[in-house]
Amino acid sequence: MSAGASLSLTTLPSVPVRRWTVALVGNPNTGKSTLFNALTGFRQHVANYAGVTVEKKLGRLRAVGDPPEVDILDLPGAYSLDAAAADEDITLRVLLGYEPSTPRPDGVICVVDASNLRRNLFLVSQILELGCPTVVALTMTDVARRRGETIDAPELAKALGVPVIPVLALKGVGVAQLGDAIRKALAGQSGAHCLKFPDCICTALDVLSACSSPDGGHACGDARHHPCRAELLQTLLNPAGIVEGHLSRRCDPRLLSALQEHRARLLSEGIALPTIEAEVRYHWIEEVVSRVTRRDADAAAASRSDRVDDVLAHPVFGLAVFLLLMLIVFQAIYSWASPLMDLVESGFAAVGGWVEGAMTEGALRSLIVDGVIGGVGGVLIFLPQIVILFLFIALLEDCGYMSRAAFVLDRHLRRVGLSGRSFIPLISSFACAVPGILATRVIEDRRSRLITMLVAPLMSCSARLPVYALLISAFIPDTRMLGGYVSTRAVTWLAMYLVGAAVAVVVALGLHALLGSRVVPGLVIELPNYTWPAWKSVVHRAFRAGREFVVNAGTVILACSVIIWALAYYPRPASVHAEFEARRQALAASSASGEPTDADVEPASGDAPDADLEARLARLDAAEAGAYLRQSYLGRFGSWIEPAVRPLGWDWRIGTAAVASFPAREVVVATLATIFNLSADETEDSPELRAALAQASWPDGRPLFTGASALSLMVFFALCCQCVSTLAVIRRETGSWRWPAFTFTYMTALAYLAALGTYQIAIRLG
Amino acid sequence: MNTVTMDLLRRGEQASVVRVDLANPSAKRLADLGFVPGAIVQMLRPGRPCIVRLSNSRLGLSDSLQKSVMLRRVGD
Repeated sequence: MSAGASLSLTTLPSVPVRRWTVALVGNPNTGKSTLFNALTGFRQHVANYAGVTVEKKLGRLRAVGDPPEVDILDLPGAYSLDAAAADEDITLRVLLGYEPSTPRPDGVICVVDASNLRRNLFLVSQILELGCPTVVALTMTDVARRRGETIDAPELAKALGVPVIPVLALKGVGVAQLGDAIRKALAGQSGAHCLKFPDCICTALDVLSACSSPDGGHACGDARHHPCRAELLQTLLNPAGIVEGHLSRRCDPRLLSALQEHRARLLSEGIALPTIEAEVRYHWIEEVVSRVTRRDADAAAASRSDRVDDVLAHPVFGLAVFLLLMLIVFQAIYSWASPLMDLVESGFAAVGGWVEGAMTEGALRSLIVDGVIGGVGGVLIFLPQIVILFLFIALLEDCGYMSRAAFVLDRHLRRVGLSGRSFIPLISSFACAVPGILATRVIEDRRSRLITMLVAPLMSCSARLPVYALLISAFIPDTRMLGGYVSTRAVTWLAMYLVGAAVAVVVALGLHALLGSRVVPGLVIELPNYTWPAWKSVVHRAFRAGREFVVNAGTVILACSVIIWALAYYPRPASVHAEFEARRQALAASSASGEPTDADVEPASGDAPDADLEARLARLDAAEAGAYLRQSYLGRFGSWIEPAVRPLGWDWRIGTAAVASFPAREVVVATLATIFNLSADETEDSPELRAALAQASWPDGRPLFTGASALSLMVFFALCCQCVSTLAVIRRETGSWRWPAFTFTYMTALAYLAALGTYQIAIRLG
Repeated sequence: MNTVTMDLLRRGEQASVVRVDLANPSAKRLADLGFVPGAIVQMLRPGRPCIVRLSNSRLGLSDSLQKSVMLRRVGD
């Protein structure tokens, strides 16, 4: 089994000592992540599977024994190896060694929820057939006990033929024993444990394995892949599944035609192919469960979770609670984050000021102060809000609320051609559309999946958060409403999120009608028991999101900031400098002689000549900065597009920032910071972007930003698709450029029109 | 023997699965989750979608799926 993996490892010269990889698998909601954290002690490395943004979490098993070291690979939760979802798809692909970037695991830790033994054993029985060294980690034994059930672990181990270790990961019970057990299992021998399937299926498997083995009747053409019995079983029972897809590329085509034949024969013998596997496995499971479970008391008629669900899963109250929760989340993001943001902001201001004082004027100082500190700092200020948003998402998911929300919203989503299954992708899109779009793989129906993908980028992702945060704090007055508990800022904030969601509904309805209405296949979703969130892992997730944001700010946003800075700084023709130098000298001369000259920006008032001269020089400096910016590459581009953005209440600088943020939305904040720092209307460059924006003005002196133009910019960003990653992932998931092109076009058009409408209405209403 | 579809169960009623309609594209999914002949289902909250208890898990099922699970009421 592990020959392939060990071969690939020993051929790697950089790995002197052999290392084992153990996959951690289990149903969703079994405490798998908590166990992973307990096993690895947060020494984790998160990557993505090649070409897929499904998280690949790898951690090193805490050293308790001798080497070799053991790496634990946390696989996404799955109910069955037969993938219905992208996540489960990855689990099966890794376990069978189909994933190119990930060697086939040497062993498996299968997490089993003791309070839900039947359904969990389904996956276990599939895993055991793979023949990898396997250890079962029995979690939630405390929950089972509260239900009046005790699971006899040694008896279960006997029934399964593998070690069973009860663990309470949060308390650290059994974690060390589990580590020992998997080490022992890896060092020992193991064999596949196969269930007794009906004779006709066994015969079919015998024939198939004979014809696919190297020395069999028809040797595989390239003789590279010889499917094991578990693979053959999965192929036989799941037409058009992953295994069949893999084998069709690797094995003799005759194997595939043999498969077709055998499937047809089984069907003719009255075997219900789609459900026979479940029937056989659950038959075995009933036997095992009755042998290992002791009922001490009758379970309470209705659990606490059921009573909570009477409200949270109620069609009306549930919806009300959902909306209320969202309002609380946004209010909290807003009010909790402000003090932290002020701290970060003043930190960057201090650093900027220090650099400015320490360096001589020139391109390098401008690059560091305006480009790097201004751009990256302008984005990093929003770190507290990102972390708080992710804290809430992790919290709601951890306590079991998310699936209730999907449940409650199912009927509403169904009306617009989506389903409750679309909810997780859509809610994930509030964090980021990329994982959201990938999560649409859970939607089996192609049409609702396509619609979900096309509307997912309308959800206000965390990259829009900096845009909203900046503009709201600068231009929306902080008035209290509803008895002082809710601020207008939080409401504006919520409104921005609702705009995206509301437009998504309309677009989904339109697409639903356009693509032809059809019934959406049903939803089946597990509603786990409510639990108190595991604070450690919630905090850890928020921390990781924060780290990712910082890394992104340090790479993509830094690069974009530098490019924008360069485009806004160069060229610097000597003529501008010469002109302003001449005007400065004329000003100095005239002030010495006491006569006003035309070099002055405004007529002098006559009093306090020294202070006045200084102010006039400062104005000249600002005018010079403006002149440089206007004739920079960016400025030229900006004046070219200005007519198009004027009706939205934007000047060329905002328009340029919006266009320049095409690679990623949050770049707009960095771009605004760079542009407004370079054109600083005040003499002192200030990394405090809010102040810079508030002071910005039209050439005629009117303030550039008003509530109306800030709203129009926010609405634009709520609806536009300024995100290359999103477009790329839509391209990958749909397999054509048609849909990303469509998404970009419709979203940009919508964003423009909505921003236009917002501005025009807002200025008329005052 | 009276079989009913799941959407006809009343709150709190228990029933055992007779079969899952194979014509439903989600039939295999339902079977894998434990909706196999003989499994006991309890209706916790009827509706569209409904909530049922299957062994020890609580599952939400939308309308079309409820109609494709045939059950026999316990005691019938």
